[in-house]
Amino acid sequence: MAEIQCPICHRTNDASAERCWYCQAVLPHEAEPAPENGDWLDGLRGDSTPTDNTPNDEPAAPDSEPPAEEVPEWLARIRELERQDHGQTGEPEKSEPTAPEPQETNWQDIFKGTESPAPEDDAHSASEANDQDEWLKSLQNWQPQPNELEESAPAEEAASSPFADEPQVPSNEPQPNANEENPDWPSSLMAENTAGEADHLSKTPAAEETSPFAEEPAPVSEPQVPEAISKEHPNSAQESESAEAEKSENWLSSFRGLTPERDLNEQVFPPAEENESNKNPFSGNAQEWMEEAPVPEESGTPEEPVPQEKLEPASLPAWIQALSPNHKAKPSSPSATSESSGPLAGIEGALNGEDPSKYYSGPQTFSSALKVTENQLGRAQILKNIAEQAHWEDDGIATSKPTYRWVLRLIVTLILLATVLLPMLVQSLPVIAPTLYPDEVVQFYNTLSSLNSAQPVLIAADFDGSLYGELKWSMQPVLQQLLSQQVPLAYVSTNPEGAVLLQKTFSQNTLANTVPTFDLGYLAGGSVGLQTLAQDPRTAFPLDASLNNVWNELPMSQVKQLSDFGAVIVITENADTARYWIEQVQPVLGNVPMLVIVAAQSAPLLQPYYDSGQISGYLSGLGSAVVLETLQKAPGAASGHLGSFQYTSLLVAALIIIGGIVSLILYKPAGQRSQK
Amino acid sequence: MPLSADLIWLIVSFVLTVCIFSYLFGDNPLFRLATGLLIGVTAGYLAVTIIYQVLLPKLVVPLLQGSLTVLIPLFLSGLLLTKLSPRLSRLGNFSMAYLVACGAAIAIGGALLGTLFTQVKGAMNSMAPAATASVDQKWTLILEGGFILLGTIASLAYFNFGTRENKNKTGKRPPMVRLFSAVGQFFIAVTLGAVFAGVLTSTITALIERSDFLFTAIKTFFGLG
Amino acid sequence: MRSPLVPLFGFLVGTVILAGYFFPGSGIAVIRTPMLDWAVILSGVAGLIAIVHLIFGVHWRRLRDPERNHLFSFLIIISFLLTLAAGIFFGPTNKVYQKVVTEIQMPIEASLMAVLAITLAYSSLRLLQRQHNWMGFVFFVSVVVFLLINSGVFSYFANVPFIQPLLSGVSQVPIAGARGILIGVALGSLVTGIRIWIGSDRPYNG
Repeated sequence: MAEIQCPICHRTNDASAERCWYCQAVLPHEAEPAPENGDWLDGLRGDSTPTDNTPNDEPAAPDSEPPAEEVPEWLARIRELERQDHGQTGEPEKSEPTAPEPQETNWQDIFKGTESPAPEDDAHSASEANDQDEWLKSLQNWQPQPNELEESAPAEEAASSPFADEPQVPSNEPQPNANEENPDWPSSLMAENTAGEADHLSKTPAAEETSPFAEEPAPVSEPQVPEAISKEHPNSAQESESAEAEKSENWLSSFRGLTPERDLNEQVFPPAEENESNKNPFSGNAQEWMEEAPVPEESGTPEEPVPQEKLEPASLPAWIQALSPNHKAKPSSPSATSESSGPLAGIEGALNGEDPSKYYSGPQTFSSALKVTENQLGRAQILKNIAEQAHWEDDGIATSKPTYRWVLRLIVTLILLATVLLPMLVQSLPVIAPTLYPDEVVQFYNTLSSLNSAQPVLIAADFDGSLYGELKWSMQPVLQQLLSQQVPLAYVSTNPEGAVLLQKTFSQNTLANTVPTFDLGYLAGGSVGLQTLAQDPRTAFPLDASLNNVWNELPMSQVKQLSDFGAVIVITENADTARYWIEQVQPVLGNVPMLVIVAAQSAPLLQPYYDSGQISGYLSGLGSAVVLETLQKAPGAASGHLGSFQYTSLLVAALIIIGGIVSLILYKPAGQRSQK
Repeated sequence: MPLSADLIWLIVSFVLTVCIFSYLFGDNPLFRLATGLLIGVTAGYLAVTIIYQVLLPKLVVPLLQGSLTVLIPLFLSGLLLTKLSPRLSRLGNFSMAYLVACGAAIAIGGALLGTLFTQVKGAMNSMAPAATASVDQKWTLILEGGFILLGTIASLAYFNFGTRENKNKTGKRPPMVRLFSAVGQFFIAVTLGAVFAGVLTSTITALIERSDFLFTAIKTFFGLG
Repeated sequence: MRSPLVPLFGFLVGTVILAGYFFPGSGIAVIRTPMLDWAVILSGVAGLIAIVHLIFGVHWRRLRDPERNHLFSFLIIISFLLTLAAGIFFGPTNKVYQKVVTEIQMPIEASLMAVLAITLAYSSLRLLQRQHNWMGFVFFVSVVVFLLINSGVFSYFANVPFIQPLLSGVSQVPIAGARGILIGVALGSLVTGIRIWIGSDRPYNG
C-alpha cells in the first residue's frame, strides 16, 4: 500500500488518508492553494527577527504534499516562509507553508515535514528568508505564559476542529486580544519548558504539529522548547539555535518511520525496553535538552512581555481563545492535572489511564451501628417507661427440680382420672341437679319448642373433633327435640369434619330416618362463604354433598333465601366462627331466630350477642345441656356424666385454690430472691 | 368376640387414644405416630372434600353444562396455581388480591353492621328498660345497664395506649384515661378469668368423654358391656 | 415502583362487595353474588394449594434431607396419599370413608383436648406464682368462681337468699368486658379491612 509522509510529524500514513493519523495535519495529496494570509499573523511576521537557520540535514517532508484546499491558512503561510527561508524551488505557494531554516529553532523544524519535496518555491524562498528571520527572532523573544501549556489539549481539538481549515483567519484577531489581556501569551507558551512539560511535549506530536499556533514560535507544547532555550541564552540566539537545531533534528528523527497502519501507541510509545525512551518516544536527545531547559515559575505570573508592534485587535475563534493562557477553564498549575507517569506523561487534561485504584474504591462499608435519631430515642424511652410499669417477676420456685415437677404432674393426672372414672364406676355418688336455669338456656328451649314441621331448620355444624364430646352432649337433646317435632333438617358446614360428625350424631338417634335431612355440603371460604350463603343459598350450594340437586325436593323447594328457614342453629366450639355467623348471616334472617350451641370456652364472648338480641338463645357446655334435658324432662347422656363433670370441676377448683395458697405462702419478693 | 368392622375401628380408635394419652408420661414415638397420622389424614380428607364439594359442583359441572361465567373463576384459579412456582408466583397476585379484597370487604361489613352498631345499640338499650317493667325492675335494669356500660367503656379505655408527648417523656396517659383503664383492667381480668374457666370446663368435658370412651371400649373388649 | 394494577383490582372488587352491605336492594347483587361464589371457588383452590405445599413442598423435601428424621414425614405422606386415594375412590359421603373422620381424626383430636385438661389443671396450680398484683388476684378469683358456676354446684344453694341475684350480677361482669373486647376486635377488623381495601396493606404481593 502507498504511503504518505506527514509533512508535520514525518510519520507515514496511508496514501488514501486525508489527514495524518497522528497529528491530524492535512496530508499533501495534491497541490493546495496557499491559504490567504490571516491578518492576525501579519503582526507576528512583522515583529519577527531574523534568526539563524540551521541547516536541516534531513528533509522534513520528503514524499507527499497535503491537498492544497485542505491546508490551513496559517500552515500554508508557515510553509511559505519556510520555503522562502530555505530557498527551495519547485514548491507551489499554496501547497504548504514554507519550512523554516534548519538552523532556526525547533519549532521551525516541526514544519520541515510540511515542506513539499518539489523544489517549486525556490524562487520565493530567498525573498521570504529575510522576513522569516525577523519573524523568528521575534518569536524567540516571545515569552510564553505558564498556563499556555494547558492549551495543548484544545490545541488538538482545534487542529481537528472544523475551524482548522478556515481559509481566513484574521491575523490581527488573536494578537490584539493577547496584547490586551496578555500581550505575551505566545511567548508564554514557549516559556513553559519543564521536564514534565518536555514529556508532555514529546507525547503530543499531534497537538504540537497541528496547533494553530504553528506559525508562532511553537505550538502549545512545542514553543516551550525554543523559548526555554532563548531564555538560557537570550543574547546568544545563534548559539542556542544551533544547539537546538541539532537537538531538534534528533527529536524530529523519531517522527520519521511512523506509519498509520501500526498502532499509534506502539509507534509513539514503543514497548518498554528502555526506561527513558519509553517515556519519551521522540528521542532521548530531545528529552535531554528539554530537561536542561529551565523550569519556568509556576506562579502564574506572566513573563515580561517582549515589546512588539501594536497589533490590531482581532476576534479569535473559540478554539483559539481556549488556547489563550488567560482562559479561565484551565488550571494554573499544569502538574495538577497532567499525568506524571505512563504513556500520557506530561500531557495535561488527558484522561487518567493508569492506576484505576486511585479512582475506584472498594465497596462501601456500612456501619453496623444502629442509627437512631433523637426523636426515635425519645419514643423508645416512652415505650420503656410504659413497659416498666408492668412488673414481670421471676418464678418463686425457679430452682425446683424436674423430678419434683414430674411427680407432681403424675399425681395430678392420677387424681383427675380417678375423679373422672369414679362416678362412672360408682353410680350412687351424689350429684347436684341444676335448679338455677340460665336465661339463655330457657330461651333456647322456648325457641326450639316453637319450631314446626312446615319450615326446615338449617343446622350449621361448624366444629371439629376436639370438642365433639362436649358438643355431642348438647346436640343430642336438641336433635331429639327437633326430630320429635318432625322438623326437616338441612345442615351445612364450613368445617369438613362437622357435617360428618353431625351425621354420626344423627345416626345414633332412633328418629333419624323419620325426618327428611339434607346434607348441603362443605362451604369453603369462611366468612366469604357465609356471605354467599346469606345472599343466595342456592348459589352457595347448587348441589348437595352427593352432587344432587336438593332444591327441587320438598321442603327445600320452598326455600329461596335464608329467611325461609324456620331457624338457624349454629353448632361450634369456636367463638370466632359463632361471630362470623352472627355478623354475616343473622342480619338477613329478619325474624328467623338464630340459636347457638357453643362450647363452654366460648360462652363469655357470646353473651354480648345474646344480650343485644342478635341470638335468641345458646347452650354452653355440659351444664347447659343438663339444664335443657331437665327442661325437656328427658335425661340424656349429659345428665349421665354430670357427676364426673361436677366432681372434676370441684377438684380442679380445689387444686387452683391450694396452689394459690401455697404460692402466697412461698412467695418471696424479688429482693429476697436476689439475695439468695 | 367376632371381628367385625366396627370392632376393628373401635380398636383403632382405642389405640390412637392411648397413644395420645401416653404424652402424659412425656414425648414418645407413639404420640408422634398418632399426630403424624392426624396430619396426613386431615390433609387427605380436606383435599377430597374440596374436590368433591367445591370444585366439582361449582367449577367442573357448570363447565360441562356450557356455562361461560365459570371461565372467570377458572382463569383466576389457574393464576392462583402459579403460586406454587417461585418464578411464576407473581402471576397469582391477582387471584390473591381478589380473595383478600373480598375477605377485607366482608370483614368491614360484618364488623360494622354485625358487631359495632349492634353492640353499641345493645349497650344503649340496656339503659332503656321495657315500658312494662316495674319501678324496681327499671332501676335494677338501669343500674345493670349502667354497670355494663361503664365496664364496656373502661375495657375500651384499657386498650388505649396513646399519650401526648411531654418534656419528661414519661409516657403516662392522662389521669382520666388511667382511671378508666384501671377500672377496665378489673372487667377484663374478670372476663378473661371466665374465659379460662370455660376452657377448663371444655377440656374437663373432653377428658370425661375420652375416659368414658376408653372405659366403654375396655368393657367391650372384655365383653362386659 | 410497584405496579398499582393489583391493588387497583383489589380495590374495585372490594368496593363491589362492600357496596352490597350498604345498598342491598340496588341490584348490585346481580354481580356481587357471582363474585362471592368465585371467591368461594378460589378459597377451595387455595386450600388445595396449601395442602400440596404442605405435603410436597415441606415433607417431601424433608425426606430428601439426610440429616432429618424421615419417619414423621414419611408417615404423613403415606397417610395423605392413602386417604386421598380412598376418598377419590369412595367419595366423601361414603359411610366407610367417613370412618376416617369419626374413628381416626376425632379420637386423636378429642384425646389431645383431654390431655390438655390435665396440663391446664397442673398449670393452674401456679396461677398466683406469676402475677403478684391485684389483677392477677382478680383473675385467680374469677377463674375459681366461674368454674364453680359452670359446674352447677351453686344450685345446691338455690334456696339461699340473694344467691340468685348475686350469681346473676356476677354473670353480668364478663358481659361488659366481653363487649369491650368485641368492640375492640371489630374496630381492629374494620381498620385492617380498610387498609387492605385501599391498598395500604398488600398481603397478596408475594
